[in-house]
Amino acid sequence: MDNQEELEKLIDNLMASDSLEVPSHGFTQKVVEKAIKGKSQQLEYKPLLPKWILSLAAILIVGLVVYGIDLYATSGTSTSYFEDLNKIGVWSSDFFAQLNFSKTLTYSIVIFGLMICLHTLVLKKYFENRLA
Amino acid sequence: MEQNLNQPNVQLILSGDSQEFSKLVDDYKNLVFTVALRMLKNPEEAEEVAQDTFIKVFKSIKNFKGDSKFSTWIYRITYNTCLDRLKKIKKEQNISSFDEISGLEIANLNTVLDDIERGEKSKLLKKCMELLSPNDSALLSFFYFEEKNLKELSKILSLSENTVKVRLFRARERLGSILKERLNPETIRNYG
Repeated sequence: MDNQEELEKLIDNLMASDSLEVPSHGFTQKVVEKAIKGKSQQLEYKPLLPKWILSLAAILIVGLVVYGIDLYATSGTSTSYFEDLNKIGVWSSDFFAQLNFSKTLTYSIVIFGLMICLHTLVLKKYFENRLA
Repeated sequence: MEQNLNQPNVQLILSGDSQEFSKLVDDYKNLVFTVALRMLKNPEEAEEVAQDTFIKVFKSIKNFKGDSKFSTWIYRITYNTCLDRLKKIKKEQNISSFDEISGLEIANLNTVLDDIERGEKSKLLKKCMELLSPNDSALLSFFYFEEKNLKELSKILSLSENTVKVRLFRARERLGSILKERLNPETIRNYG
């Protein structure tokens, strides 16, 4: 019998007498209470922003957009609302057409976006594995 | 060391049955606490980590797919929670140098162990485990809890079976060396 087998036999012999340690009295109760408490807290959904703030923000945004359209329309000569909307469309397409990014910047943005997606996937898998 | 563990009813736990979860905790608490204590070497820390482990089990039981044994899944969570705690408390994984153990010494130790009472042997094992590094203690404990199943052990530690074999051999060597140091050299010589 070689050394490795002898060593295996020795550790088997020692570990055969292994006995389990016992946690303190009431361990199970403490754990169950904590778990149930955690679950009830989990179910209590609280959004970061209350509804009234979200509603106020929505009203403000809509108000600003309407005000912007109105301001733009009164500065022109047209009278039709749809014509005004069309003008805004033309203005935005002109604005975006004027934007000119260098190739390096474009590639950097694309690579940055791809890296974020990749990191999200890797991190998601990592945390899932850690909990699973 | 054989364990008679019941497979818990996951569906009942998911539906919020606290009785079933309490049964699960009762079944596994000693195993989880033993591993935590052997890795952290501190009863208070070990108890906290054991509690955290069961909370994690409760929260993520919906992710248990059943492709491994339930015990393997719980040990994996226990092992990761202990490693996280070790990192948090920045406890260095004590890997002290050890003397090599010769074939003759192993044979002598085996003879000595055969003559030691089971209770004494158990105490001796606990003392030796305290001196072993957290990773070695966990590795050996899981190996014997899982009835020497290398496949399950590799799943717990997220390592290949070959790596586990190598680490297991080194852990045995270190435990053998600690055992040699713990036992009175005179006693060993008398048996030799």
